[in-house]
Amino acid sequence: MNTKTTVAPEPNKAKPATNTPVVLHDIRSQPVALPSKDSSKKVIIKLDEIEQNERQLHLSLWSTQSALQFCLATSSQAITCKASNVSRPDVEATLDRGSKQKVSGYHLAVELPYPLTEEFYLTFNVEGTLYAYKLPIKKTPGYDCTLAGLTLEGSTKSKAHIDLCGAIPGKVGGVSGWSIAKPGVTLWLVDTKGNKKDLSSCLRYHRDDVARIFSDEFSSQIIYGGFVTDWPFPQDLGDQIGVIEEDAGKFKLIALNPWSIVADDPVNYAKFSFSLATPAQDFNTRLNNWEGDVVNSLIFERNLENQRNERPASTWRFGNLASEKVKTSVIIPLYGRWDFVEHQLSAFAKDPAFKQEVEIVYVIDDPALINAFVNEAESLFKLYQVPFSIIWGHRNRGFSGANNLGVKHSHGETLILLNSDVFPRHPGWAEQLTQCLAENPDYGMIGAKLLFPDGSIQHCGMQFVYSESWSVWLNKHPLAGLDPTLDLARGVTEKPAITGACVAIKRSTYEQIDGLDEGYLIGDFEDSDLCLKVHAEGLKVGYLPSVVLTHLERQSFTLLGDVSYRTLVVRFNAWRHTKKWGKQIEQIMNKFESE
Amino acid sequence: MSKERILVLAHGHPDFNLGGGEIAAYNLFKAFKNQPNVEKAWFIGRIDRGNGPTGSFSLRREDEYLWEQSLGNSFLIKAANAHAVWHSFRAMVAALKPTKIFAHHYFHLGLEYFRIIKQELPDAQLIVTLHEYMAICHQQGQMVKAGSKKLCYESSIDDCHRCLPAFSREQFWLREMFIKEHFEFVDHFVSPSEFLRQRYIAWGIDPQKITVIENGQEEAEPLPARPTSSHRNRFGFFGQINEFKGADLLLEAISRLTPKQRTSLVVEFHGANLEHQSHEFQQKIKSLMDPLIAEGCVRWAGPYQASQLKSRLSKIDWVLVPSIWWENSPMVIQEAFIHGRPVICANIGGMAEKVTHAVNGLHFEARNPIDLADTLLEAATSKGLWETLQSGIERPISYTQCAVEHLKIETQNSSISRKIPVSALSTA
Repeated sequence: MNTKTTVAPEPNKAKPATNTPVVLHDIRSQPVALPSKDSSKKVIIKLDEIEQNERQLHLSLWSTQSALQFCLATSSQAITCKASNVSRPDVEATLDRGSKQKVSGYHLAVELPYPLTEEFYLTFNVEGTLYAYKLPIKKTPGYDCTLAGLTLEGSTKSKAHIDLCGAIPGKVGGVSGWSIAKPGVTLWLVDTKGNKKDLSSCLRYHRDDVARIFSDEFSSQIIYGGFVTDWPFPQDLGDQIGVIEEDAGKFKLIALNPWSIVADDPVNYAKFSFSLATPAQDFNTRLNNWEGDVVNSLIFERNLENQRNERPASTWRFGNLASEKVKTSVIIPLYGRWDFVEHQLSAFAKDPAFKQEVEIVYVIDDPALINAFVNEAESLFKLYQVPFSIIWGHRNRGFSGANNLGVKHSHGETLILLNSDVFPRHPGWAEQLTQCLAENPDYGMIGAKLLFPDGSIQHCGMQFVYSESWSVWLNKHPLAGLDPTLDLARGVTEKPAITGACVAIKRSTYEQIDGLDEGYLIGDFEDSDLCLKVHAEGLKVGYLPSVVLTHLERQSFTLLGDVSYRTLVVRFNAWRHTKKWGKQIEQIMNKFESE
Repeated sequence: MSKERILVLAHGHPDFNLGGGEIAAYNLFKAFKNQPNVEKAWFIGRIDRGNGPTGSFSLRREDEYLWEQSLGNSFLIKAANAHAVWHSFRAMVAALKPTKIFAHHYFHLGLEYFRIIKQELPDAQLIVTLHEYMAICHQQGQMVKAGSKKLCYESSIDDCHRCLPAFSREQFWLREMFIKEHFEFVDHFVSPSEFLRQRYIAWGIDPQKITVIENGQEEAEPLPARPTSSHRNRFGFFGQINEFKGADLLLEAISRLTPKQRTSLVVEFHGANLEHQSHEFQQKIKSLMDPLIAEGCVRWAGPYQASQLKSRLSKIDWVLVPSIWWENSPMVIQEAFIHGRPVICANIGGMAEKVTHAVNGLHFEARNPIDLADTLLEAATSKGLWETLQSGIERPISYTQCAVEHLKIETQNSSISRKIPVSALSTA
């Protein structure tokens, strides 16, 4: 009865239990009476049932002691059990009638960790003594195999190949490939450090190529040949990952790959990770299972890191527009190309407001542009004679980050966020947007009518449309590609959302809602996210049809089955956007549809 | 009324570049100098000395400047040396203070100087002569499709992108917007042909702002008819030999005639710059021309100097203008007329406008070698036809008349109606 062992502390205790637990050998076949200071009040306990269903463990037991706290413990961890109390008149009836002891029934539910490689003890405390009972839990099979000592060999009972494996050292990784195994054979993904994962528990999908090659050898096992999984265990340089076949207690190493190193930032991770093949219809499952959280946390870490290392932006000013005269600031991020600047300046030059009260702030968001643009800027200013400033924040910040930086370096009470490929079709547009915001305090954001270069509608407000195949809300442009006369709106018109290509918002509103969300990958949905923040403040979102600009946006198309990097970036962002705003979007769309 | 101070700008100086546009601009400048109501006139011609676009100005002779400039971006027609535009050129116009600026091109100079003129001298009038379709068409301003060489009737972002796929629809939109924004600084346009005028009106220029003035010519008496006892059967092709001027079409037409028919005519080629054409094109001309030269019906005369034109024309009866592109107002037609030679030309564009069929020349169906062959035969063999058409020629206007016409242009202040619509649907 007094075999000694050590167990981890209960979760709410910082230090390991100082007292060594008393190990109970059997509380299952019959009730056990625990010794007590007060011998007349013995504590009796019995475990009635154990039920293990994969990772769910259910225990049912009773004791004469009420309010016992149970814990599931190994040598390294402790898991609190969810307990529900049940009355046990049946037990009370069978106990010695004279004692009239009250009996407490307990039903415990625990989610077991994965994999199960250690012994589990049920622990509880009675009068300061810690008791432990070793539970007969089935360990995850195969967990005694390691890469060490195995050499790569072929097998007739299983086949596997790792197509791609990469990891950010010390953080996370991902693996994809294919595997097939005959019944009774288990395949394990195992890394150098001994972390393991049952290949059958990974996200599996049909691989036609694998099925065709092995259809004679492996008949029914080839439906889901492909696998893809995250690898949440930190890896070091030089580590490897392999596939080990377990067949009747014997292990064979049938595939082995070194990790590719993935640079530690969200974009590089996504570039790698989104290249791990997954059928389009399974990508949402992948996002929900792990990928969404991994990318989210990498973005979060990157943003924290950037904040810590922030240094003052470089600025260049051309022209002498006094900042106290500025009413409206036009913020224009530049990424990839800057030659649009000349075309914009040429258009702004026709508008006297840009020499008096409208400030232009170009935010360079691409280090490749600095030299060319900054050196050409004086010439552009001398030719077009429109004042502007250039801000460079020492790194690529994306649409949100670049705009947020530009806003910080601007002076107007009204902000206009403008894409560099948007060109006004008439003077006065910036003043009209500014005035419209001032005259309509119930509106938080006001956009413009944007046209494609052929003169058809590019934007007259956006709406949200639910995509069943992707299980997300997407932003759509109604009437896109049609004759502008088909847009019947007159005056400021409320819309579910508006494009960020040209949007006016008061600085006070922008600051109140913390500007654009920098948590999206590379950039989609930041504009509708901003709209939803404005909605959340109880303000309206709309556009002014009389303000017309041309947007050189190309009409893009995405096939639903597309799994290119760019599409998967959109899917991640759409997934994040929907998780963040799904309920609000539904309400907004209901409101617009009922009107 | 105070006297005008006139600045003429051209994409070249005829001392170094003998193109039709340069010659027209320079002769206009010379004519302005002699006008009583002109106080002063200057000429700026762009020059390429092989130094690159240094942007420097230099004096060629009194009142004539050379400007080392070129295009840095031929798609947007932007100057290579922007500093020379916003600094040196600005200083130049500030010093000269012209009241009227006649700009004969923006090719090689860039469009930006239009803006500088109006920034520096808002009250001066800027009058731009359009010599081809460059603003409308990036395919060498010819409105002929790249590759297929089909005639083009209208520009649009889709048509232009299909013609030159290296440039996107969006780039063509930007090009049109950029050029039109610079054209908004122009007070008035001059077109040497109604055909070209209509093309620019269709593209978006206000019809009120564009006037047709034919290029002026030197004042000369018509040459006497070529002394001959036989038919009027000598034809001359004058000018550049390139793939748009139709020299190859002309050779094909002659080849379609029977050997017997060919004995009844002689065609002379007074052509230049064949050596600068593609190898394929040179081979094409050579393989068509050699057997005809051997036969005796084609003669290769080679390039000529301006001073030689008159004597060369004196030895032929007809001038041929078989261009496969629209042309504007080909100088050679005016030169043929001033010297009294009827013209046979393609029935399209500026050529068809300048030559009236059966009055002062003959038309053939453009790009059709059979029709050209028939027309050559008809001209060579129809008795009395040449004399009839020769007597139908009217004298082209002189340099002086041309200058007077230019000074008559009444311009509205440019700030009143400057807007040129970009693309048909662009404003809702």
